[in-house]
Amino acid sequence: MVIKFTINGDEMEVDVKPNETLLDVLRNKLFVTGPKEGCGNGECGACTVIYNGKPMNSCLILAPEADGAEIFTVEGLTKDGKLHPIQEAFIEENAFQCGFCTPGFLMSAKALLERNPNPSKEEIVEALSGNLCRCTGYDTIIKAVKKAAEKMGARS
Amino acid sequence: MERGEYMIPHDFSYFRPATLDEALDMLSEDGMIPIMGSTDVVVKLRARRLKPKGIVDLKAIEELHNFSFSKENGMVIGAAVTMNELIEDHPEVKENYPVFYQAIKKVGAYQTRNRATVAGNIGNSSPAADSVPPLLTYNAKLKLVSKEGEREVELKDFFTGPGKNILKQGEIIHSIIVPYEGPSIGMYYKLSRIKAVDLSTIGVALTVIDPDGKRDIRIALASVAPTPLRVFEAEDFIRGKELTPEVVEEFAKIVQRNTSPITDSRGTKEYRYEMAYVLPKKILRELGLYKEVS
Ligand SMILES: Cc1cc2nc3c(=O)[nH]c(=O)nc-3n(C[C@H](O)[C@H](O)[C@H](O)COP(=O)(O)OP(=O)(O)OC[C@H]3O[C@@H](n4cnc5c(N)ncnc54)[C@H](O)[C@@H]3O)c2cc1C
Ligand code: FES
Ligand code: FES
Repeated sequence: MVIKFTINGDEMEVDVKPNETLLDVLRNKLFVTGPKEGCGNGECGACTVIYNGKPMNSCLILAPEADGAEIFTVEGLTKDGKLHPIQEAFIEENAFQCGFCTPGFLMSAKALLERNPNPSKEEIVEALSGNLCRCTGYDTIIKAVKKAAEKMGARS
Repeated sequence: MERGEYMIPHDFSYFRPATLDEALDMLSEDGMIPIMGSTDVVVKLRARRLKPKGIVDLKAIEELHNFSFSKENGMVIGAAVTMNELIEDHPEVKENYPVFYQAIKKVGAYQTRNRATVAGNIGNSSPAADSVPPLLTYNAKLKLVSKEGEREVELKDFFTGPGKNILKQGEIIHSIIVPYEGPSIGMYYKLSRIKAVDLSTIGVALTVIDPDGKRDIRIALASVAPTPLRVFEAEDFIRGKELTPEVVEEFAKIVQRNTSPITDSRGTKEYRYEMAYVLPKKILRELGLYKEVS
């Protein structure tokens, strides 16, 4: 079946099967490879995309469910070659090593800062609790989100 | 493209009807199953534990997204309302059903709760379903609908075993109805191997309705029996009694005696049995309802 959705603002039409997940389609049919498959079971957050404004695990969404959805991925963060403040903050705080988990963290962080521009440490931990990182540890990631909040506050 | 081991191995059809009537027509056929947030269903499809002929996505049905609350009619949660909507968009939940609010905040992670629904949690009928013990303590009911008509059942009569319930083919949960019986306090205590994104090793919901008046104590547990369990015997015992250490001790023992836990990857039956005794006391103590004599 053919479904339509937007990815980072671009309209797309793609032929999908009901037993494909949104993550399968993004990665294997549209070559949007920012979202990663870690567990395929909703447990690691590597596949997190912002779906109709909310972070969700794209591995738990059947592709046809996404018909009509607005999807935002890490590919949409960079504008005209300029990094998003959240990306800058992750670099400045050394908030990644292998980077496999990073696109998912960036999506959860972006959605958090949109609903709560000045989150406390506890609120950051809560919002990121569905994202696992196997190499960096969470301290620098939490610091990066704090710093991103400051940067974004200063710019608006 | 190679289909990797994580992909869903078998074919099925997918429908997203816009009206309840269409959906109920489709679901009356054998092999058709409903989905809401699909957080349980996709995991089971991948694990080959579920092989439906077709999936009927109920999310496009407007009336299932309704939420309402009044002291007269209680809270009515449409099947499509997500857990995060209950937590973030409806302050009535936290205000009037604090134990239920605490429990749904402990389901999965933020991403999970943007999809997970209470109807799906109940429909999945796991003994570990976190939303269920508090709903049992609040005397929740379900409105079930099918092509044949509708019926209202008590949540406590819904579950028949792990993953099993009284729903007939073609019948769905339309909404969850939670009576308002007055102000309440309480606690949902969930023990799990890790803090986020894990099912409970044991969950205990203790609700005190009208804490400053008739002080009606209710208790229900997850993951200690084939179905979520409300322990009426313990409630009957403690009703109207002063909360002395002896009374609380006996209350906790009755709760424990009513459980029949098993050992699985999330804990042993001995641990669960012990915690079914420890946690009710701990909750009453943390709520400040009694002090152990020192
Ligand atoms: C990473 C992860 C973490 C999780 N953590 C928890 C947790 O901490 N606690 C917990 O309790 N659960 C947890 N779950 C399980 C799951 O998220 C919940 O059970 C959730 O509430 C299911 O809701 P859903 O809308 O996604 O259901 P779905 O997957 O859409 O459906 C679940 C079941 O209910 C049936 N169903 C759906 N809608 C209806 C309806 N209207 N009427 C009748 N039957 C229906 C479906 O056919 C299916 O059998 C977790 C799942 C994942 C993937
Ligand atoms: S791949 Fe989706 S949560 Fe792990
Ligand atoms: S940086 Fe490697 S998993 Fe997080």
